[in-house]
Amino acid sequence: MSANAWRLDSGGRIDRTQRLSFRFDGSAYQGFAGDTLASALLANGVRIAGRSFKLHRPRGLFGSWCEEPNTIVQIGRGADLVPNLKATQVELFDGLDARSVNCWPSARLDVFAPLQLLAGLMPAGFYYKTFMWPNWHWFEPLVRRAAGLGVAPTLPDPDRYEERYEHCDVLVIGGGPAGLAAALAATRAGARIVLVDDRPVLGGALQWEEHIIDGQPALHWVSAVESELRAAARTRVLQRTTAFGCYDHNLVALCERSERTSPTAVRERLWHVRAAQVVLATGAIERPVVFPNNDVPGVMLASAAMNYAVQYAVRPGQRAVFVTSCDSAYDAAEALRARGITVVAIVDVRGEPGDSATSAARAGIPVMAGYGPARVHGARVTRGIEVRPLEQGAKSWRSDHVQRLDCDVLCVSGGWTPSVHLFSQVGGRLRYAPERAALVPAADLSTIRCAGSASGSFAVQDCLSEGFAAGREAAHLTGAAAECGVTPAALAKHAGVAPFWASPRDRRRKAWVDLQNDVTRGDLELAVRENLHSIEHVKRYTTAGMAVDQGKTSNMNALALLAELTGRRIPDVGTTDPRNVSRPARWSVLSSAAPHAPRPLAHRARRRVGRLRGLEASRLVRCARRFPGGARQIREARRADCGKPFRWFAARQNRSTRPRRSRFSKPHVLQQHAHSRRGPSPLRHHAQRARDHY
Amino acid sequence: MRRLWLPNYTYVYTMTHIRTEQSAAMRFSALALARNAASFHENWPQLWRSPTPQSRYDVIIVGGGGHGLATAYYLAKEHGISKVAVIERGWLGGGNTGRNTTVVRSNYFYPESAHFYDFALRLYEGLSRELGFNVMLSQRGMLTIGHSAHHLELLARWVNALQLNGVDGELLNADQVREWLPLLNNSAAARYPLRGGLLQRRGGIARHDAVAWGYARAADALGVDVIQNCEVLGFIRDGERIVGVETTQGQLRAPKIALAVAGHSSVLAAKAGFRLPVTSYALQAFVTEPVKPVLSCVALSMATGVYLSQSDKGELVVGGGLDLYPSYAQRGNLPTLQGVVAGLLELFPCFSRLRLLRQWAGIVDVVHDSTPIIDKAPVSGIYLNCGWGTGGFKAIPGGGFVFAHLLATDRPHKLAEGFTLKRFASGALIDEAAAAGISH
Amino acid sequence: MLRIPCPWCGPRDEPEFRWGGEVPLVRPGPPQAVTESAWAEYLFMRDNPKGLVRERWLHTLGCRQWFIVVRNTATHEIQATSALGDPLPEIRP
Ligand SMILES: Cc1cc2nc3c(=O)[nH]c(=O)nc-3n(C[C@H](O)[C@H](O)[C@H](O)COP(=O)(O)OP(=O)(O)OC[C@H]3O[C@@H](n4cnc5c(N)ncnc54)[C@H](O)[C@@H]3O)c2cc1C
Ligand SMILES: [Zn+2]
Repeated sequence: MSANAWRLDSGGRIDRTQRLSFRFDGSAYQGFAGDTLASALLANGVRIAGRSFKLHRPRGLFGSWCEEPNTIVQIGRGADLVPNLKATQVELFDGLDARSVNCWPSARLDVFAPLQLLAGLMPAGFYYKTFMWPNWHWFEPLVRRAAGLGVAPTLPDPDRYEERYEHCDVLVIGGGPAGLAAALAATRAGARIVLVDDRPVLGGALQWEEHIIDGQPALHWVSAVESELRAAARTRVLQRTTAFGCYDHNLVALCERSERTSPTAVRERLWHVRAAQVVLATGAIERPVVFPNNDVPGVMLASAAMNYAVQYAVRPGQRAVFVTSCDSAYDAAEALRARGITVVAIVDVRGEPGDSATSAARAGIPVMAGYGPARVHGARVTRGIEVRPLEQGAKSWRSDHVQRLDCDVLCVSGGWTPSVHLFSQVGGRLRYAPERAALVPAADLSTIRCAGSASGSFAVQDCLSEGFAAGREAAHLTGAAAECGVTPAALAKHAGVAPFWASPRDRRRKAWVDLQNDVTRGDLELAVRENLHSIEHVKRYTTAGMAVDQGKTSNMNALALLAELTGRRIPDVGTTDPRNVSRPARWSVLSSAAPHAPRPLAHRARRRVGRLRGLEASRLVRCARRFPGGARQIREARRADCGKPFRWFAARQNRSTRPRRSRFSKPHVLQQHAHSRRGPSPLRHHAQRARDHY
Repeated sequence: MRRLWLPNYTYVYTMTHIRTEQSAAMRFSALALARNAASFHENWPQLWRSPTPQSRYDVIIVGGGGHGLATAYYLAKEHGISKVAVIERGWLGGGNTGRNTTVVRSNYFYPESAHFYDFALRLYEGLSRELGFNVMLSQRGMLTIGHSAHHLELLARWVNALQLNGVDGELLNADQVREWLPLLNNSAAARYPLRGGLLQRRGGIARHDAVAWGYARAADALGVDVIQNCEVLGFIRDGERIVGVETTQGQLRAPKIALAVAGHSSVLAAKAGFRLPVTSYALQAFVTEPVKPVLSCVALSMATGVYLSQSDKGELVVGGGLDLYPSYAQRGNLPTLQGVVAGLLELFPCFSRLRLLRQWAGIVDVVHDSTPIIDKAPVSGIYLNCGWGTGGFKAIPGGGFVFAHLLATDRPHKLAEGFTLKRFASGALIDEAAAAGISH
Repeated sequence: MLRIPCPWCGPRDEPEFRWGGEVPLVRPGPPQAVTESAWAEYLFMRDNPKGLVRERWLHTLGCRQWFIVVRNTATHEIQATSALGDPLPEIRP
């Protein structure tokens, strides 16, 4: 296959002048600056990019960001090895060396693939029922070797990490339309704000959805807002930064990743942000639909297909079929059609899909209203889909008439799931909104509010207005009450959705709920049959939602199916108990105690100096907190409190010619020192306290 | 019936076979799996029933964690008392039993604890087959790492105690520890250098959910009512005596009410009108994303209290600290996380790039001497099983066994004679701070 | 991560503090008249409530003063703090 055969000739926000070479499973490929590993793989026509955890089924790209369940890779080698990354979140760089995990020798050709044949013997929780005779010890090593994803690095980490503290009036999490509007309002109101977004570019879904905001194309609006925010003195914008945990009293932990510029740059930085008010504009994640064979490579989220086509100029396939229960998929279909991809049909499970369908039909896209997906054809790639007319209410088939549509990419959309993980972590309650087919925040907390898709308002115009209002209110509550200007407005789009979780049951074929952990609808049924009715039991028994994608595309479907299987309403099933963290975070950045191991000395000294510079600001913040009396006091405090250990440390460092075991050789201990001159190391302190306690 | 010999101490009868009584539940085996595969797994029976609560029982056990369920099972099996209800506020095993880091071991210091925990470990060793449910006991070894001369002193003393008590345990030198843990920070610059270790080969991990589910299934098969979503709101009194419980599913009466509610013991005690020497803390735990096998045993650092193991799924499961103030909020917290991770990376610098996947806390019932309380309560009609603190998962079979004995006979089991409430007044504390005062 | 308003220094993060037990805790006396059970009650028995509780905290890494906090053990909400010697703060249910 020629390089980038699946790349569109024009468009996309990639830099076609900058070619980047990379390797995947040993083969060499090329991509462009601005690509993710996932988009570059797709551009090169790589369809099987991963294998599932239990059964080693071939899997392709499914999502386009943190929701990706299939394409888990490890990159680098030796000390630079990083396991278990989602290809969708790896920014492409020259020389990137990625390998798929949990398969051998490659994802395309996996010797463990025959395990699929034993699928019948391995239903949910099969290991509780067997391996008892003669003894579990006989089987455990095998099971352990078969499990696990990537390989853990065995050499010390050469990267640098650091830790900073920040205080602000309003913390806005998410840089999509709602988050940008919130940040804009809060900035204009005069509050001190921090805006964080975990992608490399701001705009969220505006990067690939086409909207008109304030009379201009959405991306123009995004850059105008970005410039205004960056120009504001009291606003800090953090990109590539994930808010992974919300803790007591409004402490939000952020992990900031650096661009891969120089090898000595700080790789990741942990931020402790104590905010008076938090606006969660974390958006929503599209939800797939459960139907037979829905795991074949080529089946992907409609939003992901659109994302690849628009942002990365990659054709997800040549012939696309859409299966949907909501309006947003029509935009995706239109975007694909506009880029020369044949849209075979939009299969809408709703009997009367409304205006979106009318305009799609007008644009020449066939709409099959009232049809549902019966099964996907194809084993290693999607070859087509069988559709069948549905009964009103979409609970059963209306007739036996099956129609086959040929396609090589199947875009699914069963609606959207608000990303409310952080909200739940701090005790926020959710409510089921049937008209949005989603669990949405029931009521804002006194210091944490949700806006935009995160609160279940999926239309862009609502995201903007809700975000703006949330930003303004949050700023007002902190006493910043300047005029905010007019709310940004967008041309209205439809965002209708009908609840549709799964096609009518097909006993003989597997329909996948959790792609990474290979959990099928049958597994959920088995759990219910064995009288496991609590969502927690079902999750633990089937492992649905427990994979490294944290169930971002599967939790809601599992919940809805469980409700159906047990004859309960969705709110009566409840959700699993929210556990931090909302995204995986590296150990190293959490301890910020790197380096842990001896390195060549020159290297080490350089790193320390670098760290010290980085530390300056955070010290100031700490001092400011200890001496709330104003700038003069801060300066004095700094002289008195930080000056000494700093000089002391520097002097010591000059003498440092051999590795030492002193507790002062660790930079984080220095931080502690900045904090209290005679304080013991945090660790010792901890151990000490624990000992005292008992 | 098989006789178990517990050195220096006592005979204990245990491990009769339950096969015959288990007719209600289908026997689990590879064969059963194959048979059911043919019918698309549509014929598996329920693991347990969902009974409607009756108004009267012989014993009501409050708390459907491991201890509550095991107690019910042994009451039915060892003592023939099966008119028993286990009532659980939420879902079975949803408390600490489903939140712990699953370390099982018996390397305790004092004779009372060593004998008790070793008995529990012996029961664990036969548990999968006894319950017909694979609890995945993995006796991969529990290695306590010493980092200084003082640690080695302590370890030597500890091994002596183990040997006197008939519990397996051996002292390892630094090279031997390195063989077990090749990834351990081994450099001269290590903040916590490696000096030696204590290995209990019979220690290891087990699957927490399976322990709760296995006991629930087996107890149910013996006629116990396992009732979920039923919270105890208060007690019914007859004069001085407690004769029943008010629950969200109505009033249930029984002459004996057994509390096995871990971190919530004080809350229920307050409702019954007494206080306990218990403080509830949020004990923290963490797991990484799954990786291929990198760690063959359970490792604990004496310097930091951090311990870790790798689950069969491949996740590194890490613990090492509780928030040092009382809490009933089962929330993960950042300072403890950072402290534990810092300690972990001192031990295993190469794990630096693994990523935290989940963090949570369970509410543990800490008593001052880290030794459980298995006794009658000061209020008559109530029996107590609590004080497991940070380490009661390993005790579940033993705790259930001796608690069932107390409930059935009104006399403490020989192995639990020291675990009374009286000890706090008499001063006969069994201070296991060294062996149990760590977080597992 | 709690944020505790120290009456002397203002709001600070949890790691600067150390928890010091429930209050009030009255030492029984005189020593010769204290029974074993009264002594055990004083030394070991605790309310350990789920909900609001008054407790003593020490600002270890700050002013090193003991002070009183009214805190909800179920939600971690901090309702009030006061300096030692001041009247105990009310618990507002
Ligand atoms: C993070 C963590 C790690 C741990 N690691 C280990 C380890 O490695 N090794 C080890 O041996 N131990 C460990 N432990 C300790 C161990 O988990 C516990 O000691 C043990 O599980 C206690 O079991 P239990 O049955 O007594 O309590 P639980 O499992 O907590 O069960 C108590 C039950 O009572 C229910 N309940 C409470 N109130 C009511 C009410 N009013 N009405 C009805 N029901 C009620 C609760 O819902 C709960 O299900 C750990 C604990 C934690 C939190
Ligand atoms: Zn202070």
